Amino acid sequence: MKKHLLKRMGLFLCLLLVGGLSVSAGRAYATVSSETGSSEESGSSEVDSGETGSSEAGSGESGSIELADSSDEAGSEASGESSESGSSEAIPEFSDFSDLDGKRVSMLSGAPFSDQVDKYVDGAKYTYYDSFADIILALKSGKTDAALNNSAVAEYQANQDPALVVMEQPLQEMEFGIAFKKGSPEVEKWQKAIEEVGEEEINRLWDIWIGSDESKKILPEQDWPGNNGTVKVAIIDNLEPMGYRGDNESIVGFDPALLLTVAKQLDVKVEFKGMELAALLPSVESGKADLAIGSMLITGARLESMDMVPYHSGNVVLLVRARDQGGNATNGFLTKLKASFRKTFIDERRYKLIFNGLLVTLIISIVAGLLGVLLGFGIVFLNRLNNKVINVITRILEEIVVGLPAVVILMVLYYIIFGKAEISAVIVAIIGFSIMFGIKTFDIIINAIKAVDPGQMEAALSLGYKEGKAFRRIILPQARDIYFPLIKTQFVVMIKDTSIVGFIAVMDLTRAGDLIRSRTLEAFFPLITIAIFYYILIKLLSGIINLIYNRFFEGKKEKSKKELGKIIEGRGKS
Amino acid sequence: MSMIQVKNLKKQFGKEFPLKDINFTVEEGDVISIIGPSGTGKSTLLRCMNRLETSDGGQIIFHDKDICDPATDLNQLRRKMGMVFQSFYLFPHMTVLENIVTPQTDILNISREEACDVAMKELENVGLAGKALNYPKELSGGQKQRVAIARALAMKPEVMLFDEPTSALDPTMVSEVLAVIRNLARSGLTMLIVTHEMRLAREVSSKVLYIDEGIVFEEGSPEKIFDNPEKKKTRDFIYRISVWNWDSTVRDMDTFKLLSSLEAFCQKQFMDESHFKSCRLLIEEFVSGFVNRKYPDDRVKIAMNLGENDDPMSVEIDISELTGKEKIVNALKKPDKNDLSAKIISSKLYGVPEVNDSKIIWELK
Repeated sequence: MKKHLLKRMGLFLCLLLVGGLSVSAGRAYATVSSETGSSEESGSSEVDSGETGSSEAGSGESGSIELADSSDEAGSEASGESSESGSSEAIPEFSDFSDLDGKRVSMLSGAPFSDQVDKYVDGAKYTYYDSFADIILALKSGKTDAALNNSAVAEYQANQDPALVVMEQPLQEMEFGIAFKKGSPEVEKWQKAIEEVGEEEINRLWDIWIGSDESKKILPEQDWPGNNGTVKVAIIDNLEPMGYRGDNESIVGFDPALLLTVAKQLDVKVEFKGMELAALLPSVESGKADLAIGSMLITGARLESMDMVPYHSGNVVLLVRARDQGGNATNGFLTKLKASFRKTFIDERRYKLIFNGLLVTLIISIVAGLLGVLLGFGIVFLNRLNNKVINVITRILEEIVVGLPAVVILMVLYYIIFGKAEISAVIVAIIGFSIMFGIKTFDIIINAIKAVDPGQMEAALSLGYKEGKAFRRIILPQARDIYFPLIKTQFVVMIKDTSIVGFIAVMDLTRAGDLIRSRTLEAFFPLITIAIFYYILIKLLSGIINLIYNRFFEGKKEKSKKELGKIIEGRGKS
Repeated sequence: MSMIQVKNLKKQFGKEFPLKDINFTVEEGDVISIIGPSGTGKSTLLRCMNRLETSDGGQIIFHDKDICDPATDLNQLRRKMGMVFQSFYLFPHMTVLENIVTPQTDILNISREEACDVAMKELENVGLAGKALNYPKELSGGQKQRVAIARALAMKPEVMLFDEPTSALDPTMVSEVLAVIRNLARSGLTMLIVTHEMRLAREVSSKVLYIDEGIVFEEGSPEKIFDNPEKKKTRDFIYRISVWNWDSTVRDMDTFKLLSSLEAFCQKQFMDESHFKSCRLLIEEFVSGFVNRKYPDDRVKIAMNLGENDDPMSVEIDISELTGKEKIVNALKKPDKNDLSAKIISSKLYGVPEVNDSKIIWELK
């Protein structure tokens, strides 16, 4: 009687859980994927926002307010249907800084503005994110109350989304700068080149990239001779409109456009390397990049470790929610789904991003898997030689792999050990994972061998077996039954661990999802897609491994059994 | 010339000296049982014979060569000495047949067909030809041990070493293995058996070695050692393993434990079922009828002695430390018709009871 009741309760709770999850998923999906004007208009914007924008944007001082207005107009005219609820009518949830007392403020990791905010806001709680798209999501879903960024980014976002508004008053009036290693001789050259390009030209670029006319947003081709060499530039790749991934995954935006313009002036070629804000300065410090650009405002703290060259004014502002939230676009669920699908896969051929990411994940997993297993077995055999030096090295590696998180090991490899080397990040990832997986494999195999009853070796010896042969014929096959499932599990764990390679700027499946999220500002579709792809990938690879193992080892067993069966049958007949 | 001569064998483990000065000879065809108290180095001695252990002194001369010499070819030696272990150690990842065939093809380098032939013959000899394609985990303990014997025999050894072959087996499975060993002994194979099974030692051995205090304490024919041991220590050992007793306070008396200990002892002695039942009934009735839990500090002492042929001779209950023993004596001498236990015990149905102030003794029929 009681068991029956418990079962019923359990079932009910499960249903409740599933129901609750689907409802909240649906809700999250709805709030987050509200139609944004620009995406509908991506090809067809006719409004010339150029002139209105540029003249006021250049003034800098009170530029933020005018900028807001002009881009509001540009935004509302361009967004057609949604112009009624456009940003020009939206009222910010917080109008004064004092309204934000005790509230949550979010900014990008590495952005040094909490002190500035503290000057105007009491008791603000700070959270740091790796990408601005994540901050926007947090803002819209109520996980934070204000998003900090420069006026360009904030205005751009407010233009795209009627649910967001820029607070009128800027926090600080600052300048964007290109970062160089301290004491670099390049600083003077670039400073001069920027002056030569001229403020007018720079403002022109600014207006193009902040505006909503996508057709004007074309990067110049590197068609100059480049007699003065090539520079490696670390650039932000997930912050629109400063630096982001466009068509064919190329990095576009105001920052690359400006950089190419100055490079042309200097007659140097440019090699861009895209990454998130927090990775920009370390790249320059470690020497992996010659300079870095990416929505970096010149601050005292930054100047202590870098030399920075200013190229455009930029104010620090706060982006908040609009007061009336009510009417989110209530187009049918299916229409939204279709739009999400288009944005995630079709627009700018993003499916390529995903497939490339998938390929990278696959390659790293398979190569590191194979190398790791080989390394593991190699160490097992070396270990049996009982050489002191080998044992010490093995022990050190074990301590490192067991004692440090994978992401830390990878970053140490990439930024420190291979810091100066001209080696691709994918190779570093493969090396890192091979070593980690190899050590784990070694550990598993050694313990599996120990787990075999020592009596087995005694029995083999007592029959006359030599120790080596006994190990191969009797001990190892029994150990294999123990270690194979364990190694397979570790392999699956490793496949999932590869999702951290984004930290060393590798574009794998997870990073592809991140980039799409930062472009579409949607979480649901990209994340679900990535999740499904990972699941399928893992199931597929596990299945293949099982197949190979069964064919090879179990097949051998079956063959031997059948063969002997035949022999004794024949004997019976005679 | 003797096949094997063990001279002054010594083995040390840390501060312990399980073997101090072992001396004996083995003639071809000898079946030698090695008995003695636990932990005295019997297994160690056996393992020195095939060099699974290396002695710390002395010699083992096998076919005129001292195999304790470090230059000995161990693999060759072990081919000539087959060993059967207490825990069988069959290879679990191979079928029974493969267990026996693989060592032959790997070590003796004969063809698989030939090896198969030999294997099947040996399996037939131990009665397990039908299990050739089964895996060890599908067999019972007795079957596993028989396969282990077949596997060792397939290598055509000159000497077979048995290290407590039946100690890990249920009493019900011991007989099937003993039967195999009996057959082997009859066939003239030279065997050394470390065992606790006195019955086996008595039936098949040509010589019994009693190992104690690190030396061959006493040696001789089975009759001599079991029935007429010369030394007192030997006598005590034999006595100890041929007597069952129970000594505990009333508080600590676990009736289930008592009766199952009795049962295990009787099974080991291959006692007749009816004799065992008589003993059990008498003891059960006494415990349930006359032992009073109100006096937890009383002592209960019960003993059962075996006579010839391992049939129980007498059951003896010491009542000197039981409170109210006078009442017990009276109840048994003149049983009240309503006292069932007393009636059962004092009836001459199972044995003739003799009751005095301190003991109740039954001579069993």
